[in-house]
Amino acid sequence: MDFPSYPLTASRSTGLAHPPHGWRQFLLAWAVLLLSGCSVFWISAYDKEAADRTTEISKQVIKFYQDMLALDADKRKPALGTTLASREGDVESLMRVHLLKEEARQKNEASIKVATNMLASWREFAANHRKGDKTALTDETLDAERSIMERHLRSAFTAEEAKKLASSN
Amino acid sequence: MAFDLGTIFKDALQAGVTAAKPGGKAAEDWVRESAKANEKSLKAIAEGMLNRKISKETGAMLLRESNRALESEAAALSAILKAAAQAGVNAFFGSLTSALSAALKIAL
Repeated sequence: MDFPSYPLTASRSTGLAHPPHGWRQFLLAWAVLLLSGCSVFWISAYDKEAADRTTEISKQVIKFYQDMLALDADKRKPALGTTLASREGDVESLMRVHLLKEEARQKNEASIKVATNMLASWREFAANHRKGDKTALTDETLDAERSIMERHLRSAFTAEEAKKLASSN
Repeated sequence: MAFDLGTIFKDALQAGVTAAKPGGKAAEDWVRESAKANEKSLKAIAEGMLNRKISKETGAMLLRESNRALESEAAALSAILKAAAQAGVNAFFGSLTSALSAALKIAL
């Protein structure tokens, strides 16, 4: 039995490589088909709501420290039991909701990590305000806390904004 | 009809590099910004402790939380790098697919 044979070298007159035309087209079509399904998804898409939630948390955190620093040092602890009593709890609630929503998104490990860390730091600071030693509410401590919270918040914004880069071709 | 696979790959690679480039710049800027912020935090804590406005215990707590903020900054950096890599790889595949599709249409 004879099998059909194809020349393996290119014909100089056409400039085409062999296997012959039909087979080459099939390979090309196969490559296109394979590649057309090839796109990677390593990070979630940008979500404006996540950025808005971070903005709201930022406003509340910054306002809290401004209000605390505006008070005389000896009036800060009493204020946490009266005028500023619910503020730390309100901010914690916002952060918890933010964390839950971040956890519900696919491929969102970085933002989840930032939201988790931000909440942990906030809780640590809130506990220190109530149970810490006499330097827990000095200007210097509050300034340092605010600077740390700003770093978490900046990280949250950056992690969200970075997602825009993933879709910018 | 002739199609040059070498050129197609070269163009695809260029498309990938171009798409990933903004991410590379963003990552570099973020590392710089993060280093500055970290330095500022540590300096403020150290000065407060030196002036006894921050106790040893409070200072230790603040240093722990500063490290936690550094973790957040590293997480943000990983988001930038992932996004840049995704943009680059998808642009590479996109360019390759469209060039091969075009070659296929011509061949047919």
